[in-house]
Amino acid sequence: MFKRIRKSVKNKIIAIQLLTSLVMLSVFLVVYFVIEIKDYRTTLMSELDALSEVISYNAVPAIAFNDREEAERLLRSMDQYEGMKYIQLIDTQGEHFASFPADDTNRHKRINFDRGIFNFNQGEINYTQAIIENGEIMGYLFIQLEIDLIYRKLFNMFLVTSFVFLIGIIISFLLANYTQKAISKPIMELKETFDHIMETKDFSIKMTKRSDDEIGRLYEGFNEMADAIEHYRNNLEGLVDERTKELKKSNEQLQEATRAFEDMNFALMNEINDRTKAEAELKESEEKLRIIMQTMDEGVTVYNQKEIKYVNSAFCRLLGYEESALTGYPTEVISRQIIHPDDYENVNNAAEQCLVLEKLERMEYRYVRSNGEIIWVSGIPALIPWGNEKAIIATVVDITNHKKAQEELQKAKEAAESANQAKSAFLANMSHEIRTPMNAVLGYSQILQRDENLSEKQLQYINSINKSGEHLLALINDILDMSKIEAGRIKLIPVSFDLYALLDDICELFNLKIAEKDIDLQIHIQENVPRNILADDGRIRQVLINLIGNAVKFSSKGIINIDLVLRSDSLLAVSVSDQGPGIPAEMLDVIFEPFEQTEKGINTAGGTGLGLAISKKIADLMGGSMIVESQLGIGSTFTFSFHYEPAGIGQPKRTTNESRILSVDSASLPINVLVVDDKSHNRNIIKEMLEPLGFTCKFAVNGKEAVEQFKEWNPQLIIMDIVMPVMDGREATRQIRNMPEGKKVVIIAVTASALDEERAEILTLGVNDFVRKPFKMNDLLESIRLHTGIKYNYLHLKDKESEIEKQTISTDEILRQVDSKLRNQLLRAANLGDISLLMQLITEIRNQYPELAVYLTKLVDSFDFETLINLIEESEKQTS
Amino acid sequence: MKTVVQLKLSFLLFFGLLNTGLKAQEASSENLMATFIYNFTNYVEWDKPSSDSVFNIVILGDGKLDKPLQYIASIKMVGQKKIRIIQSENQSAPDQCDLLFVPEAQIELLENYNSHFPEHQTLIISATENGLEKGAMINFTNLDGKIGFEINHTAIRNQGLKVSSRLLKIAVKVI
Repeated sequence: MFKRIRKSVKNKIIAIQLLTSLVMLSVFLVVYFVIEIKDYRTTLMSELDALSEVISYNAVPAIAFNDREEAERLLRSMDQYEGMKYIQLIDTQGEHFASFPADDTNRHKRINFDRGIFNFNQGEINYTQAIIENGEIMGYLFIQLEIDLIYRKLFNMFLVTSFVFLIGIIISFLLANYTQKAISKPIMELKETFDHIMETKDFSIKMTKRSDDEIGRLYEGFNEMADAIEHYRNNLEGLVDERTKELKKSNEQLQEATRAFEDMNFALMNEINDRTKAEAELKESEEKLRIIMQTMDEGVTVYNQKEIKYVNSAFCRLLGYEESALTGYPTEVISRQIIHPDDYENVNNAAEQCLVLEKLERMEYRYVRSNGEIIWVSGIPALIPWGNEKAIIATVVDITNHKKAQEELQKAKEAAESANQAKSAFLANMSHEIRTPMNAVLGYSQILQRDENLSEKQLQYINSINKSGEHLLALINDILDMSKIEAGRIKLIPVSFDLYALLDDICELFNLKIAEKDIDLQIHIQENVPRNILADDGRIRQVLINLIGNAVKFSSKGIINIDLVLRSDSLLAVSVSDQGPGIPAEMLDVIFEPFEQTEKGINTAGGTGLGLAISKKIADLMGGSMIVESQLGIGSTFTFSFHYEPAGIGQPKRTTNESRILSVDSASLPINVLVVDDKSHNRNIIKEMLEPLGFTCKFAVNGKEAVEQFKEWNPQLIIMDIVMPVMDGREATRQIRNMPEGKKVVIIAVTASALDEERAEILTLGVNDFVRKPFKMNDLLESIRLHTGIKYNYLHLKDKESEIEKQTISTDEILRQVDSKLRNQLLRAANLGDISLLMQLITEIRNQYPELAVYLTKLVDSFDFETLINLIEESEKQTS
Repeated sequence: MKTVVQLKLSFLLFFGLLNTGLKAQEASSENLMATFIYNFTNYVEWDKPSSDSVFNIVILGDGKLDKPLQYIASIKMVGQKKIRIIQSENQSAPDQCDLLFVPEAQIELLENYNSHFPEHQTLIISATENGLEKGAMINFTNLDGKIGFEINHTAIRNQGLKVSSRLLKIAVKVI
């Protein structure tokens, strides 16, 4: 049957429609059946609720007054209710009270209320309801209906639905039979036409379209297909020829491709051969590299953050490990094992920087060998690709011996520095010890110089003592400066001062000397150079005096240019250029070394050989530099630069008046001076200096005595030594300043201490000024003038200068008369700085030319060999 | 014996769950009558009660009903009112009385009480033969050992009380 259905469209259509109807009807009837049963149950429940309500209401009095007959009469009235099988009243104890029918089998039956108030039992429908009066349970009503009631209902429903189902199937079949004809008939016609075309091969036969539906479009499609087949058949032969040509062409292309492939294959083979050869060469190269790595003396290791990739034999020898104990292990584990714990962090950080930042730096660190020995190595890292990763290749060299040598060198250096400092300390102490007696020498010589009663010879000796003393003092000061610089004890004391005035002041110092030579001193100050600056004026003065002094000393003619320029906002530079003999190139590097002098310098000027060394050190200390440029025969330029800070108005300028002070101006008198010093000769010197000028002096031998004297005498000026027994100058100054009358008194401290820091400390005590022993008389008098405001009467030295000038001229003339051999001997001795030989030669001249001898002796005494040499050379030229 | 069992069952029907104390006592016609007396209050309506807070039941005579009624009063209420039982042995009724029970021995006194409570309504119950004729409104009967009751509907209406038809329906006789 199913076979028949599958073969026929007609049967398929009928079957589909019948099946659809069957399913739809079944679903409809099942749903209808379920709904009906549910409705019936709801209805039945409602009926039973209403029934039980009526019975309960009427049964309550019967129960209340124990009237069973009345109760049974009431229940009996339910007899006509459809399906009623049994109805019962039950008391609150669950015991039978009344029933219908009055069946003894049910009389003692206890109802199980837990089963619910409505349930279907086997063959029965049970319903239970509580009887309630005024909110109190009076008993229970139990109703039992026959189940047949429901069965009858279901049977009736089944009859109805079956009838509906049958009618539905019949209608559905009739409709299916009708509708299938509309579809299957045109298809059969199409089939017959198709068979006819296939039989006759006549594609001109066409289907006649009867409708616009899918069948109609099927007919159109069939006709178009027949047309297309006919057309295609007509063009088929042409297409065959065309395809044959294309096939031939494709065949030729294929042959060509085959040839190209063979060529490519050949090239590929060649490339494979080349690569094989290259690989062999690479292998050979790698082998060579391996041999090199294994035979080189330097240790090589390759590693990254994860593990040690490679170590060479030298590296293993260096550390005393087998290669297998290092390679392949985690880098951190091996690093902690072989790197000294104190160096581990540094090496690790460097490795990270190398890998991450590609920052490569040579490092020195320590390894711990397998036997515990610690060795110093120098490691040079490089970054290389290692597979797909980056790795560090480190070349490691044992530098233990080098390091030991370095340590020994460092120790030696420290020892030398220590010794040097000890030497400096010794020099400083020694200089202090020398300066103290020098005070007496210079002090008395200065006093004697002022004595008008001295014979010329005595004056000459005194001058000689004074000049020698000053020269010795300058020497000591230079040595002290040098030792302080080397000991690192020199300190800058910045003050505000007038830089222009300072320069003028220094140049004035050299007026006399340049007047003796054919030299012109020119100062050039750049416009933007500040006038007032904050810097250590004493040190700047010291350097400039040295530089200008050198220029004057080494020049016999020409111009000395002093150029002051601003290098930057805080850097000034002073260049001193001369047209002297110049400095040999090989000496340029050493002239700043202590005790180094050019040959010319040794021959000509004498000196300590410390001036430039000190100047260079001061320049360095002031944050600047000292540079020399020089050409032999043309001249030299020294450039001194230093840092400064802008300042307000400079301090009052000390007079550089070189005039001799004759006396205190009468308008300023009387001036009472308390001289405090524990050493009698020092007190006497000051006394001898001051009293002739009009000062009135009293004396104290220590601070305590000074305080008492001050209370009694109340002087205008105190000259206070600092280091004294009983009470020193510091304490005495403090006590005097604490007195009401002690505020105004001028206190000038005098000490042999050469230390700047001590000067600063003493100034903070409340003293007005500070004069260092041994002092020049004029310095002390100038300080007194500045702070007390007194005036002096002067003897101006200009007259003396003209005298000297005249004397120089006459000396020049006389010298020309001296025997040329003797002149040459004088010149040689002056160049050598040989004082004893000079004095011997002067003695020879003295008898014949006593004036000349006196003059020359003056020059020698003042170590002014330069003037002496110039004088002799000039007379030589004029003679020739 | 059958009667005794029936009475006991009746008593337990109503109070078995409520009072286990009485359950142990022997059921009697007094217990049943006391129960009926209380049940009458559910089917009779007082428009003018003796008190707004208490329902007064007065029992004349020997006091046989006193104990069961006292028990009922302890567990039940009439509407929202508590029950007060007044035993009157000196044959004089108190001023306030909603329900008066007159036993057979005191039936002759009934006439005196018919007009004794003019201020409020009183339901008078007796338990004697011809009790209705003697002025009672409800009278207990005993027919073949079964306790029943008869009602004088006219007397009840005259007193102004309203009685439920459901009570009338189960009465042995209504006049």
